[in-house]
Amino acid sequence: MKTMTLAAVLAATSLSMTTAYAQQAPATPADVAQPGGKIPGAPKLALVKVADGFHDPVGVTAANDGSGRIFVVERVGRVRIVDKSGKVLPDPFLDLTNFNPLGSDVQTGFVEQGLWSIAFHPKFKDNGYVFVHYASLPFNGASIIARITVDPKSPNQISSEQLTKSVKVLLNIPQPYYNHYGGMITFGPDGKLYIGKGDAGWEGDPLNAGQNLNVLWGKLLRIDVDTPDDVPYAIPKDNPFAKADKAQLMSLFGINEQGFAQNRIGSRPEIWAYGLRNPYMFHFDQKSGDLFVADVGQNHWEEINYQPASSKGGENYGWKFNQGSYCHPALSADQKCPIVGVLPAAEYPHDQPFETGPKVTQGNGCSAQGLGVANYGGLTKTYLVGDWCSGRLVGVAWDGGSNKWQMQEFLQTQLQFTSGNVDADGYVLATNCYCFYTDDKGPTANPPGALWRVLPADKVPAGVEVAKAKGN
Amino acid sequence: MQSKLLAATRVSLLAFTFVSGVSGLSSAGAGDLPDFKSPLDNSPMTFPLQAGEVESTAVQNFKATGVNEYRGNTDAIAEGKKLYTANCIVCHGADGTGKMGPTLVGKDVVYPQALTDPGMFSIIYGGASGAMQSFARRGMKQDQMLRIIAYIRTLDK
Repeated sequence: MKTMTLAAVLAATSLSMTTAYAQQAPATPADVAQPGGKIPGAPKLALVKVADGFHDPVGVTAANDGSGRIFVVERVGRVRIVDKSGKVLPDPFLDLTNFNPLGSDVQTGFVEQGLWSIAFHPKFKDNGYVFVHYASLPFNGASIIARITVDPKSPNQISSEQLTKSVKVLLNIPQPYYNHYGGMITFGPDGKLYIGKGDAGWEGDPLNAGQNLNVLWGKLLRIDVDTPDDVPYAIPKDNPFAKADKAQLMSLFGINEQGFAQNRIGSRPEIWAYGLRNPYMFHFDQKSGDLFVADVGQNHWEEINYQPASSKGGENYGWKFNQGSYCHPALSADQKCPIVGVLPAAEYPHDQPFETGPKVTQGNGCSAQGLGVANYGGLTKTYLVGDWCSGRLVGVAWDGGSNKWQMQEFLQTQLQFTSGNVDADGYVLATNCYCFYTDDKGPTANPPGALWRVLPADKVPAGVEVAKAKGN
Repeated sequence: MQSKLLAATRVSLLAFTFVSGVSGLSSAGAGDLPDFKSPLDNSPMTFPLQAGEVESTAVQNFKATGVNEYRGNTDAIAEGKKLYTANCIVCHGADGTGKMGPTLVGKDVVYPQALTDPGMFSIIYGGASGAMQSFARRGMKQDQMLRIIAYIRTLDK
């Protein structure tokens, strides 16, 4: 059995006195949604192919410029444009493989390495700023986050010259191991850039990165990119640890314990949330500003975290003390351990939920890839998640009728989901690759992947290709 | 692309009866016809050959009868073990009981059709869900799939 934390008890008590049953992160493990739930009003869903022929597509986003263009990120280091008609433009929008005369700037040796994500500045239409996050070959796999400026005379292709001339590196985060980079970057409704960073790899978080506030690994970061060109970025003043490491004189008396607890010497002010393992995909609900984080799990449990728009940051999502609402290491179902920090809204198991105990064949997966928040077709603030191993498409949503989180499986497909986002019309997009760990022939040698759009099954237009699936 | 051989063919009842009667190796069950279908939606499957792929006699017979002639064939099983080690072991484990992927032995398989050779062949050829992708897309030959199945069955003790 799992035990409720004191913090959770206090939180539950205080919340029940004020905003009873409001949507919130679960207060107890029993409140965490698991497979088998039903989201009220949810329709049957289908995945409709938008375009294909992409080399290991691992990220996607839409430009907020009214063009209707969709940008598909190829792991090798290129970004392809799908225009409004669904046509893939022949030349890449961005190419990180050929601006460096010594070869590609992108490390792709392991399947978790490559170019993961791009993000458009909220004022992209005016300033042309696009941000990239990738594993650097020259820097031995370090994460590079950089800004590149699009030449308005060439909106569909950033030339090598333009890239070289305009690039501004914001962050270079060393990476000791070749896995768990995280990857996604996106702007929040507050205009700040959020960065998902994994725990730096291996397994079992050997660096204890998730809980160590002195490192950027195992975190969700938040930075202000609106700085002069000679200043890489700024720390938002309201980041939870913005002043935790400030230079100060020491006072031993006249300070209460809360005051002492605020000193986090060496902590990194970029941190927004911590205790994460590999937050490869995370998404803001464009309507409410609420945040969902799909944190990829280790051997036994995947978790989907929820953070309301009112959050002040500083949430600890528990890794490596917990996986989902269970213990790490997850030995057995009746194992006892403290639950650290904020519980996930939902969790689903791998085929063996615990080191000992039976296997499961329903609702399982191995790697949760958040796709985007759906507000259409009967879905309300429903976080769609695709699993890389099982091909399952699930939704996570707050059920106001029963006052709890629900996780519902919509489909099981043949797709290895890698990423997602919402398009300009608010529909959730998804990408799939054929680039599994055990069969990675290289980022341009694997069979090509595709871009999909999630639609209510009764809204699928005639004549389109729909992903083969069982479910609903 | 060629579609020389049709899946779920219903043409060779006589051949099936003959072969299964002689070899006793049928996995489809006496009187059954090979049932080649998608594990996701049970839709019938076809097995186009890859460019340059030559359909072996074993594959031809298998498609007609559902009988995997490589069962019990020492050389084929040895080759199947090599292929299994190269392609399957990471997910399904050396003993076939599953690691990242599900078990291939015993009765508690994820897809019941994996209990028959035509069912398992359909999965290997066309994939199942998520990471269990089509091995035909990965370039594996159909004859190799039969050898892998023959080896997997030896794990099922």
